[in-house]
Amino acid sequence: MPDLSNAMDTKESADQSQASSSFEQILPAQSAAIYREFQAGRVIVRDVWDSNRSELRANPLYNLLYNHLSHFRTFYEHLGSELVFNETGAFFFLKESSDDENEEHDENAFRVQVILLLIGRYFARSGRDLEYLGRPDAGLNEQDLSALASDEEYQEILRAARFEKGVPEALDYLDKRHLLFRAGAGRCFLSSAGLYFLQELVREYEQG
Amino acid sequence: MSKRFSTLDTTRLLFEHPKILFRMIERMDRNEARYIRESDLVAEVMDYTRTLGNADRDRVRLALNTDNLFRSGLVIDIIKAEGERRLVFQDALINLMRACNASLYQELTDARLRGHLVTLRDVRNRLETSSFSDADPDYTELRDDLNERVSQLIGLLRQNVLRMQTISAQLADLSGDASRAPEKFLEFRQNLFEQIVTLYERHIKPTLVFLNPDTRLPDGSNLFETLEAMVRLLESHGDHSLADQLFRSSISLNALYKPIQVVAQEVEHFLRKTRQGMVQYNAMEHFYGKLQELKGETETLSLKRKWLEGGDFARSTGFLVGLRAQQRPKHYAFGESSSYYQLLFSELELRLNDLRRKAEVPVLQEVEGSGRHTRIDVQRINQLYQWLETLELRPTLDLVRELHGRLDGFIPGYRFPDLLAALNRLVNSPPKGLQVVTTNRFRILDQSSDSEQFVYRKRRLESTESNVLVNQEEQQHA
Repeated sequence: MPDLSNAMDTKESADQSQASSSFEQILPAQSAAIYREFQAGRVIVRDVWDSNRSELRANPLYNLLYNHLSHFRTFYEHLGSELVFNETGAFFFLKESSDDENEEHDENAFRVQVILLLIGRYFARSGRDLEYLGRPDAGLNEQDLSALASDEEYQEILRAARFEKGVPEALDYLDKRHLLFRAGAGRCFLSSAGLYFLQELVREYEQG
Repeated sequence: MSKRFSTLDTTRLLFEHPKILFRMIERMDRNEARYIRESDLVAEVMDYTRTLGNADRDRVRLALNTDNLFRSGLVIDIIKAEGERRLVFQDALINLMRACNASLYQELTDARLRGHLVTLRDVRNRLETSSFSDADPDYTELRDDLNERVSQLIGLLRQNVLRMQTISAQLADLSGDASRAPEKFLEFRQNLFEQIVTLYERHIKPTLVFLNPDTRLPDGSNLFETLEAMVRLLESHGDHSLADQLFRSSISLNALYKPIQVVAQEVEHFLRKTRQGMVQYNAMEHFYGKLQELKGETETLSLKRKWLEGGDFARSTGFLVGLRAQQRPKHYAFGESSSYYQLLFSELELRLNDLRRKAEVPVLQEVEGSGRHTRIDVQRINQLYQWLETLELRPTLDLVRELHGRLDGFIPGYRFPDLLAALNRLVNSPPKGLQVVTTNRFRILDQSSDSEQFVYRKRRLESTESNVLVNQEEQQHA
């Protein structure tokens, strides 16, 4: 802009150098990888399941977001979304701009919540502590999955939440979003983000 | 009030406003009575109709008027005792109401179950001395009696199973206070245990024992032994249809055992819970209840309501609200653009032209590698060039891929290096009216035979004529 005064010019250049330095600290490839995760509707959790080594490992993308939180906050703000960080649940997710309060906006959140709640209820009814749902060595086993799939009321609820194919489809839905990990044939457990939701429900209930 | 409603219309109104009777039945069960006090009913009706519109209010008040109920036969008796009027409703109506609301089912007690068993045994004893002749009215009456009792028993038990399956909500109710106030947990716990133990000992366990085929009873045969004895009696006297029916009933009864066993296990788990476990359990029940409400809304008569409307629910928990949808694969623009079809047709036409000249297709001699047999190589390349001379090409963005597609699998003996030769030829002497433009973009071509990849610079084949000509051609195509 040519008609800016000199005073403005100096300020702008200072801003520019700051902004460029925060960009310079991050590899474009990694930032792009984060963007792709968010584009795919995923949450970015601190620990992800490594199916090759069969263990949870630290997620480099999470660490990058964590270490450059303010940069990414600003960055995504400029892209018209909000980067939400949940410290207790140790996850990030990208919130679409919420100025339009349409149905679509809550649809994905609701569908995620429905499945998690069904899993949580099933688990609590089977007499186990919910914490076990988040442990790779515990979680849901094959028997649990078939019990979930054979409960008629759960099927009806899932169908009404547009999971026509029932439990397997619903689990895939969570899996693709990193809210649940598959730890082998017929076994799965919740990620810290998935478990956070159930814990939050318990907390909310406890507070009355 | 001279106006009154027919039995059908009165019943219809009762079911349109079921809450009134639901509450009356609840009260009746709580007092363990078989009647409803008239004053209670009037108070309930007044209370309920307060929020209704004028016409509805009058209609409901009139329908639930004692006089109307009695004359339409829904109230079968009015007892005057202790200065109040007690209404005895028809059993069928009350049972139907109970069927509409699982929480209104009456728990089966040991005594009631025993009552049923004793009558069944009685029927069996009478059957032993019966004539088994269809002409004997005693026998036909006995058959009817037997059918009725068995179906009654199945209905009753099935209702109870449904009722028991809602037990998790009941347990959450019972323990709600205990789990929310940690400091009073121990105090509540005692109380809670007593209630749950009552539920378990008085209702669940007797049903379980009743339906267990291995149960030994001190006073005689158990349910299944009784039924089996009857089946044998009927079979030996040739009444196979009734025997079959009874046998099927016993299978139905047997199938009810498992769901009750599941309930029993759940109660047992519950009794062993710590406070934390109980809070979790109750929280899950609490929110699941909300989900059930949403589901209930989809079960109304409206055909449009098929899906759960969870916006409010999702926002109330706030978890992941605004999460992106997963990208779906983009579908092809089939049938959406005329240029797509033009492309498709011109490609098909070119391939058809190739096929028409199938007879002229040169057979390139198979060679291991190039260089050793110079003569053969020259011969092959010449053959290929001749083919290229006559090959009709259209302007394309990626000549390499296009050419590969046209040669691979079509010309016998075609090898990958031939593509390079062909390209070289086209670059140096392009077909008439076309020119090859080499771009600075790179593409990868996978060879299906071996896993080698060919990285090439993208080459465009363009028409040297002005674009106007191309447009004219396109219009002709269209």
